Formats: sequence, C-alpha cells, structure tokens
Amino acid sequence: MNEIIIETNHLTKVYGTQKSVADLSIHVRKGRIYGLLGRNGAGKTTTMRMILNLTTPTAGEVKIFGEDVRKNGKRILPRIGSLIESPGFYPNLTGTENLRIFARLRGVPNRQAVENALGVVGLPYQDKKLFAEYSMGMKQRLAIANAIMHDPEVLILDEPVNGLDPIGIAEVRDFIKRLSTEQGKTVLLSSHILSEISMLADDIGIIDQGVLLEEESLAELDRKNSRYIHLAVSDTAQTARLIEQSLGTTNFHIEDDHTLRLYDLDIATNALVRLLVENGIEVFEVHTQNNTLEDYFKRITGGEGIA
Amino acid sequence: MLNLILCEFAKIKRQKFILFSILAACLFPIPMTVLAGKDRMDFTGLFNLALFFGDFLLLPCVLSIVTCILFFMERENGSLKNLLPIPVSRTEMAFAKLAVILVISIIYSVAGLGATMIGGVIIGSIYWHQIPAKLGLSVVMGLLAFLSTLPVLIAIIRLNKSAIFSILLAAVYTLVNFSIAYMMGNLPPDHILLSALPEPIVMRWWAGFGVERTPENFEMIRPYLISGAVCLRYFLLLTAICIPFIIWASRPQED
Ligand SMILES: Nc1ncnc2c1ncn2[C@@H]1O[C@H](COP(=O)(O)OP(=O)(O)OP(=O)(O)O)[C@@H](O)[C@H]1O
Ligand SMILES: [Mg+2]
Repeated sequence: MNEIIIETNHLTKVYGTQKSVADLSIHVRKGRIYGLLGRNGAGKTTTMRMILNLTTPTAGEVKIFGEDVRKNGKRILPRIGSLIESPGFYPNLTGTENLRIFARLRGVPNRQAVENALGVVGLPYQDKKLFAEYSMGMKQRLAIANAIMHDPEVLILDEPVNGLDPIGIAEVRDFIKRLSTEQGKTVLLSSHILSEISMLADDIGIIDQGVLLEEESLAELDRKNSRYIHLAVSDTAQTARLIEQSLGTTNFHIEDDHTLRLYDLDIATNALVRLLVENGIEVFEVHTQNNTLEDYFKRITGGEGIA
Repeated sequence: MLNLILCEFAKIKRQKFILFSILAACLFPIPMTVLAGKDRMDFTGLFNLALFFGDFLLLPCVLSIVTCILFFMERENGSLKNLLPIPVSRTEMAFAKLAVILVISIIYSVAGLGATMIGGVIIGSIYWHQIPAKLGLSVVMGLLAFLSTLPVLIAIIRLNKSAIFSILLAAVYTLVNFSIAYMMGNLPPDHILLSALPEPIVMRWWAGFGVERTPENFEMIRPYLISGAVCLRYFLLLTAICIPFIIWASRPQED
C-alpha cells in the first residue's frame, strides 16, 4: 500500500446555506495521479482551495505529508505547486517578469528555473508580450509554468488543460504523466471531462454536489464498467469450464451461481449459446452490457450530458 | 522583507507611479513661484509655502491613489491564490505595500523641493547653502505626510471602493486636517483637535523653527508650539495604532 500524501477527513465547506463540499474524505497516494471528477459546481475548486489553505473549511481537516495544513502550512506549502481556476497574474508585466516575482518570493535558488519552466510549457523566455495581451491558452500555460517552477513534490492542478488547444492538451497530459512516472511526483488534478481523467489518472474520485460518490483506482473502475456479455445460466461453474475449454478464454468473472460476465467480446453470442445449450446448460438471459465509464459517470452523478 | 518590498516595486512596473508622483509634486510649486514673484518672497518663503500645500494638501490624495492600486491589485487580478500557497503572509505583504507608499511619499516630497529650486532660480532667490537642510526637511515631511495619511488609508483599504471614492475620502480628511492646521490661531492652544489630528501636530512643531519671526510674532505662537520629541512621540503612537488596523483592513472580508 502506497503512502498517503494528501488526505482530507470529513472536509466540509458551507457558503451561506449551501453545502459546497460535504463530508469529503479523499486519499491521494504517493507517486500517483489522482483525478477529481465532477460536473460544474460539484465542489472541485472549493476542495482544492481548502487543501491549499486558501479557504477555511467549515468542518473537517486536510493533512498533507501527514501534517495539518492549517497548522503547518509554512512547512508544507513550499513543497506543493498549484494552479487554481483561472490564472491570476499581473497584467502589466510580461510572463517572464511575472514568474520572476513568484520565483523570488519562493526563494527559488536556481536562476534558470523561470526559463526552464517557460520552456516546458512552450512559452518564450524574456518575451515582450504583457500578460494582459496573452491568449487564454498562453495564460493557462503560464499558470502551469508557475506551478512547476520550483520543482515541487506534489502538484495540485485545477482543470489544468482548460483553454488549451488539442496539441497543448496532449503536451500537458504527456508532461503530467511523465512527472508522475519518471519523477515520482504526486498529482491531484480536477476535471469535468471524463476522458481527460481516464487518460491520465491512476485513481479517481467522483464528486457531485459536494459529496464524494466513489473513490477507486481507474483499473477497478474500468473493470466495473467495461463492456461485457452478461449471462444468466443454470450452472455457472460448468459454464465457466466450457468457455475455458471450448472457447479458449479465461477473460470472464463469475458473479454468483447463476450469473457470469464474459469480457471477451470477440466471441459470437450465437456460438456461445449453442455451445451451452448443447451441453445441457439452460440459458435464461444473454445480453451485451455497453456501460462505458461515461455512462457510469452520468449514472452516478444522476445527470445527463457532461460539458 | 526586503525581498517582498522589491517584489512590490516589480509589480508596479510600467504603471508610471514615480513619474506621476513627481508630476504631482510640481503642481503646487508652479503657482507658488508666481505668487512668490508677485509678493517679493524669498526662497525660504517659497519653499515653506510649496511644502506646506504640496505635502499636506495634495500628497495625501496622491497617496490614496497609490494605496488603491497597491492594495487592490491582487484582489483585481486574482493573483492572491498564487501568492498565498507560496506561502506569503498577508501581514508581511501589507507591510511591503506600506513601505512602497512611504518611498513614493518621500520621492514626491523631494521632487517638490526640486521644483521649488527651479522656482527659486526663476524668482532670483535661492540659498544654495540651505539646500542640504531643506532636503533633510523634505524627507522628514514626506515621512510625516505619509504617517498623517495612515488613518484615512485604513478606511480606503477596508471599504474597497473605487479610486474616485478613495480620493474624495482622502480629500475630505486632508481638508479638515489642513484647514485646522492652517487656522490654528483661531482655536485655543489646548483645543482637542490641535492635539489629536496629525497635520496640526506637524505644524505646531514646524512653526517653531521653519519660519523667521519677529519677537512679538513668536510670543503669539509660543503657546501652540511643541517640541520635536513630542511630535515624534505623537507619530510613534499614531503609527502603532494605525498599522494593526491597516493589516486588519487588508484581510479579505469573506473567503
Ligand atoms: N466564494 C463563494 N461564495 C459562495 N459560493 C461559492 C463560492 N465559491 C464556490 N461557491 C459555490 O460552491 C459550489 C462549488 O463550487 P466550485 O467552484 O468548487 O465547483 P467546481 O467543481 O470547481 O466547478 P467548475 O467545474 O465549474 O469549476 C458552487 O455551487 C458555487 O456556487
Ligand atoms: Mg472549478
């Protein structure tokens, strides 16, 4: 079991009468990418703001590296890089000047840090263009550069690919993936786009109306939701044996005495049914489940259409 | 801390703050030069007049604009969420911003001296040997004008309103202060306002050495005068009271 780097315990935030985050307990493990998935207004940003000690939780606590952020923020925060919502920089300065200010405040000793960070996100170093004149995507890139500039152990990225073009999205995705696989960084990111999360994350937390609906590894979630042939038969043990021997696959899962899930979709349904019937097994039900993760996400958040 | 102050200066790059304050500093010396030329005033008279009006009537308004820009900058561009997780303390940041305002106040005051010297050359009266002392006085007055403005800065920062509103607020505060300082002689020396408001305090100290007086004139103002030590104590107390309020005011009101 991996060490837990970020942990929230019953985290709650109430704005007025509205519970934006309710009793949320998430666990981000070392060296893994954790994707916080939720629709607009689900409470992703609010959660991250509380993790970074930008807002005070109404109840609950946040532990990073096993320490309470509210008490030991001074020690913990320098080890984190973050990007929250829209990029916030000084409009009258260039990208480089902006990053220099943050580097100075951070006390980043490496003089090349700013140049390197800009290089990573594909922004020119010492360009004349002011932040106010940046395009949306350039602003977002600068925010990413700011988050990684000091080579933090943990990254907290709120919708990191927001506003980027497809090539930019792919670049940032690869970059985050590499940070995790090559440098062992721990990443917590949020998105309302399921495909984005499923391409990147190792673990997923699904949040809706402030409530954590599910927290699982992507592999586990995939297993639950991949496409499969649902079989209801008189005897699953015998069915399993037959499938293994005659169809040469073990890619199935026995749910109980009478139901079995066959994940190998290359098998023709008619041949399968014939095989079973010929061997004296009664078949009550055969159908293909087309549950994609997206359906699943829609189903558990109880809504349609994810923007 | 020095780092934070340097960063505050870096943040206002291209905002032409310094230029703006220098231009504003020239505003009073110009008409004062005309006035001094008409009245056959000498350089000391011109300097006193320009300093009096420039530092204690106009400067607080200039500082109110500077305060608005500096203190509302992060709220406007949303960079606080990038600063706080560094972490940067809000209190230290407020101190750094106050330091920048103080520096601009002193630059303004010294620029006013520069403009007055040009005026002095124009009216044909300038005492070069007095310049070092006047430079020192300009710096001190820049500092005192800044400290005198602190109470209204609390309100400006807390209310978080537009620049226009903030300037008006500063103007009203300064006008009250300035008028009372200006018409000090109409009030009894032990009047509460003369001991409570900062600008009358500055005048009561400055009047003792700034102007050459006839003996009977001196006797008249004598009961109003205070020593430098009293003035110093007053401003230390004022600062000690105002700084915590400014830090309180600069905290976000909701989160
Ligand atoms: N400062 C605030 N004051 C009042 N309500 C707030 C505040 N910030 C967030 N909320 C509310 O909290 C809820 C969650 O907002 P949050 O920004 O965390 O959602 P999100 O998951 O980040 O959404 P999005 O995908 O749109 O970014 C929303 O209903 C929002 O209106
Ligand atoms: Mg959000």
